[in-house]
Amino acid sequence: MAFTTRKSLLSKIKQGDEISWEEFYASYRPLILLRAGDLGLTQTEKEELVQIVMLEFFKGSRDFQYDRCKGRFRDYLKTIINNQTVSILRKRKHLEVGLDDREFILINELEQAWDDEWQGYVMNMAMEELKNCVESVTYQAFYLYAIQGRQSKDVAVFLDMSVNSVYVAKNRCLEQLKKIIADTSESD
Amino acid sequence: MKHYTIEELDRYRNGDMNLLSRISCAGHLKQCETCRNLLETLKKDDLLLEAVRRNLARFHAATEEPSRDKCRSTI
Repeated sequence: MAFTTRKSLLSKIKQGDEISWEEFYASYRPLILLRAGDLGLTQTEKEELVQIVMLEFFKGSRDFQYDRCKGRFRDYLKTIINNQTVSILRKRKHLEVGLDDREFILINELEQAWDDEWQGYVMNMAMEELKNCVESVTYQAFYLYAIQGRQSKDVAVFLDMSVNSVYVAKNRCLEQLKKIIADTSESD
Repeated sequence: MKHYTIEELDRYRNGDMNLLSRISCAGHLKQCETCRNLLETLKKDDLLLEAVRRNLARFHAATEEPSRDKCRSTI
């Protein structure tokens, strides 16, 4: 999913576009799972959280207006995730009245972690988007050399290119990656 | 003055350049602020790459490895 099209994706979702829902699910599931892990949910609870958050978002999507002046999408999503996590924790403990102090402390402590999780998500998705922005062999050279840390000479031999081309691929991809991340930061 | 490309500087700092070229590049860097700045950019890029690597691993672990799941049973 192109980050710059998040607004149009949300707009399509609002109209009930099924394909956009699949895109949305594929895009945000990893982030919800990461958040769920940081919040201490079990594997079963994590999957439950993904389903509930998607359902909540689906229910609210018809009324949801993407308007940055009113707030960021990431904060809206965080609120849904946090609220549903509290529900799951409450269910886990079979609490009838409310959560104990430790649970509230946990949620508050992880308030700051959200920005970090979101930035991680942005980088992750930017890497996905990068694949669509550059030629396959350029991405491979970048991935093998800069991400996996393989030797430039080995990558050059493997991809049948010069060592200098490996460096060109790395720097070209990095520039593109920085641009994608910057665009996303402006649009989230 | 002819400046080095970012790829050449990247090769220089990684020791991926022949000895003569390395000596020549080192001499140039002493005189050229533009190329020194470009070298600094590469160092900042290293930090970004490190963050990308870390986050790829983190998201991979979150989505692919349920065995690493930590249940906080005390909550």
